[in-house]
Amino acid sequence: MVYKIFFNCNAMLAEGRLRQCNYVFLSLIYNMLRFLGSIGHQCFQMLCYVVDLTCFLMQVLAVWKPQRNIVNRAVYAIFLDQLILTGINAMAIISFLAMFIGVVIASQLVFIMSSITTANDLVEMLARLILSEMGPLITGFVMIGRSCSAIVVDLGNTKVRGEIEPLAYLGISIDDYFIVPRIFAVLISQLVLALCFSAVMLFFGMLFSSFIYDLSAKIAMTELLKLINITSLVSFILKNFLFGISIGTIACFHGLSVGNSPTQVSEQMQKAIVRSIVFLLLIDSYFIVFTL
Amino acid sequence: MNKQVNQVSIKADKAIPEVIEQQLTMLPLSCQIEPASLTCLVGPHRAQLRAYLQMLAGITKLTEGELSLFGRKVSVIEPFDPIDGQKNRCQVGYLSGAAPLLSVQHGLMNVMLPVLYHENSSFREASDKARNLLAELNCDFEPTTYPALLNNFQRLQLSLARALILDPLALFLDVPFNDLGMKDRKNMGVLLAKYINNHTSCMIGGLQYPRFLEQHAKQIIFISEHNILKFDGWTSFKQSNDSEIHDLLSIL
Repeated sequence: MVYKIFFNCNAMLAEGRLRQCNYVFLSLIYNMLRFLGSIGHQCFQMLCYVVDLTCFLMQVLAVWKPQRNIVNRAVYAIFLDQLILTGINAMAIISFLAMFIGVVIASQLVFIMSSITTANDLVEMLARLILSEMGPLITGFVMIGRSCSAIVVDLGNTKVRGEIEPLAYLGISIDDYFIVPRIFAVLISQLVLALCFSAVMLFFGMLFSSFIYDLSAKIAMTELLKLINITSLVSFILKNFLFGISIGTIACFHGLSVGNSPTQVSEQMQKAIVRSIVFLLLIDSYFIVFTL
Repeated sequence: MNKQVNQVSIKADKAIPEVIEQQLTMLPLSCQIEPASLTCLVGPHRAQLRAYLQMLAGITKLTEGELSLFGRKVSVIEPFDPIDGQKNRCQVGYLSGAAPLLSVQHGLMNVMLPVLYHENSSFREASDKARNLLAELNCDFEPTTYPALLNNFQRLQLSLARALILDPLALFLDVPFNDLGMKDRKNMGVLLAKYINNHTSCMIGGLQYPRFLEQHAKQIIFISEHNILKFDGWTSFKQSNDSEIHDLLSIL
């Protein structure tokens, strides 16, 4: 409709029935409407994407019906493969990152804050920062860079080469064999790696700080253990659960969205990475708003 | 009822498959495929033939008509229902010559996969079953080799083993001589001949190796956009006066 009005205006201007200043005013309104329209369009597309993703996850999880064996050996083998690739192989890099970031962040924090606050407050700040923010987030980013991209490329290439369809012809469910083990492997890896990251980061952060500054590592650790309660534990698990399930689902969704062309693999991989980061930050914002 | 099932394994009555390519016109197909016999679908359009083959295998849905697979109407079977659909799929072995095996799994695992998935056998049992079948199929290579390291004939041997591992009642062959040299086509023909005598078989891409059709095809169905013609063997197909068949045979 906006286009129609604008083209009518163009015609009127050409015929001399519309003055130049009115034309400029109308084209301003037209461009504003177009801008608002494009924002609306983007929002609508984002909403459709969330709905698509949710439906995809529901459909995938629906393979578990009462008749199905819980431990299907073919699916179990893929699950173990994925767990090794996504979780165990990432342990070294996660530990190294945790150690490095722990030393940097904790030492800086202790250095800045030790003069204005007590050791107990310092430990609480450190615990909150690491356990509820940095641990899950940095692990999530590592998972996105390492595993989300790998899953999209793996599934995308498998689809491009036409290796998926013959399995479906043999009665093997694509969701059951390709998707469920990947999502669960990412979910478990995120939980375990985030826990490992937080523990290593806290440990090295405290240790380093105790060497350099006047902070007792023993007291700090005791204070830290006091801070860990059921609520913080549940919040930590829930957050990582949501991170893991969203990274796994987005990766598989975009992996299967690849058509017949190899160029779509990199395209879908980019989309998966960007959208996973956006989802991660949105979920994190939700937790910040509701747990502070 | 059982006698009927034994006499006719697959029966299509004015069945029209889902259109894969919009430009192609699909005509209603009525045919019967008897047990332990080979039926070959031939015609000028590979996509059209594949649509009919997948319809007869119960993979794609029918838009019109009826199809019964071993006495059961396909329209009432949900393709990926955990019990009904998958049981149905286990009865049908589908060899896809053009589509590759899973490249991330080695050859033996590719063959074992349907057994592990459907029968939930132990890895040892599945491996033994797969190795026995590979030996039957004269596979002289190490089965744990990845498909990318094998030649076309060896990959087709693995595909055939994967299609046969669940002991299906029917075997559907989608271009089984795809990308094979003359000698390998002959070897593949010998391998397939072992199984088509015990299975209800239907294939496309048979014209890549006419000698095989001449020896084994009990029924040849010519499918084009204008015609569906049935012949009871290679000789009568070759002697047909239809101009489209002449055109098709002239390029061989």
